[in-house]
Amino acid sequence: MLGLLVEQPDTVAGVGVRLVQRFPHARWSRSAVYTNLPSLVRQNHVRLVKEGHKPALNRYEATATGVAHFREWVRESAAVPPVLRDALQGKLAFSEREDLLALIETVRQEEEACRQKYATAHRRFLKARQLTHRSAGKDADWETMVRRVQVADEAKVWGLMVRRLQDLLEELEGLLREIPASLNAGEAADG
Amino acid sequence: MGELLSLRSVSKGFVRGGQPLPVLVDVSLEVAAGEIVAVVGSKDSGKTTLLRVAAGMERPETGEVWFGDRELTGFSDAKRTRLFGREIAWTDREGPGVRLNVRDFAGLPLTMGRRHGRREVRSLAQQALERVGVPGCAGQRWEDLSKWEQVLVGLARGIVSRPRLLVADDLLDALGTKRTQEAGDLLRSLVEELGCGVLMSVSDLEAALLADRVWLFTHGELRLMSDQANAANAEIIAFPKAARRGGDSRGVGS
Repeated sequence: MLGLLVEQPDTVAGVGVRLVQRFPHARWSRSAVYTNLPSLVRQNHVRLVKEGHKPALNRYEATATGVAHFREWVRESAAVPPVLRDALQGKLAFSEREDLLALIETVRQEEEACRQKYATAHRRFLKARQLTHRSAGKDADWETMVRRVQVADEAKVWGLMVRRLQDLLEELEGLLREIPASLNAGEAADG
Repeated sequence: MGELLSLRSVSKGFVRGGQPLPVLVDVSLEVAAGEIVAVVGSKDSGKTTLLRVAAGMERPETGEVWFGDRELTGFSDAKRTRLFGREIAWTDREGPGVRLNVRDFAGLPLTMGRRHGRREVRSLAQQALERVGVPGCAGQRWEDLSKWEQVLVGLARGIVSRPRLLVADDLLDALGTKRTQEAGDLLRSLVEELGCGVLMSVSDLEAALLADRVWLFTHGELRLMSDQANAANAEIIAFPKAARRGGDSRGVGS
């Protein structure tokens, strides 16, 4: 909603209509706009510019703080579990080329951080494996065995994150490649 | 440690529905004697193609494949077949496809180039089966084996010719934690015994942990995940994707 008001000032009813148009696959309750816009006002992200004769016609616009907050949010990482996919779609819907570049850079850094964590967990796993080998045939070293399983699980989690982030990067880079192409097509049509 | 296998900027693709489908895009990797290298990727990501090129079974479109000091892409088919039978072994979870007992199936790599008589092949195959702990399976059919026994027979097939390089395609996938660790321990002991290098593909991150070096294979490109063989260098080996696409070197030490 904040993004829509950053694009242009609008009434509560207008924001509701544009919300459905922009995100047709997301589910919104009818009251979402009525409850969230006043909340954004309290956070000083939007302000009421004109009061209508009924609440649906109250007109809002984004404040400078709101614009800055929104831009920052768009560029934050979207390397997210599936439950936050809607947030990613939201970011992409409002992303300009510079935002997308910044997002790609953030995801790349996160992917690198996860890769380092995977490498560390892998090192610990091999170490634990060596230790269990040394104690083979002797009394079972329960703690070492547990450690081996734990670090294996840890490495798998980081490995999965790296794979997911790689896929996301590929997707974002694909989108980035489409941006100049569509601009050129538009220019050609205009010409 | 001297490199046993070295892929340098290898590319390969296919044509599907009239459209070019790049499978390997400027891929570089190395395997040294005594180390296990894992390539992790999802199903149908092109891992098998990568391994077939590495094993000299397929030629890349561009790039070089070095085995020791020999460049394989320039070899004739006959020369590659000889090398494949003697120094490079391939193994996977596929059965023989014809009615063979397990001992004859495990001995198949020895029949390439006809260096051994039938009796010797059977004897060596039996030894390999004993080494991996399934001597009792020798007279059985492949189809009658359990999944775990098939993996062990796959390992026996891989080591029967005492290769310098073992290429294992999805052999250790989806075995569960306990069996994966057992298979890893066995593979490690075989590597120490034979002094060979191993290049294996896995889709399972658990199986990848058994390796000294782990590469992530995605969208035709390789990305180094972990390098415990050169742990001191591991932290500085980071390949920004943009740089790689620009044609920068990616292989460790290449």
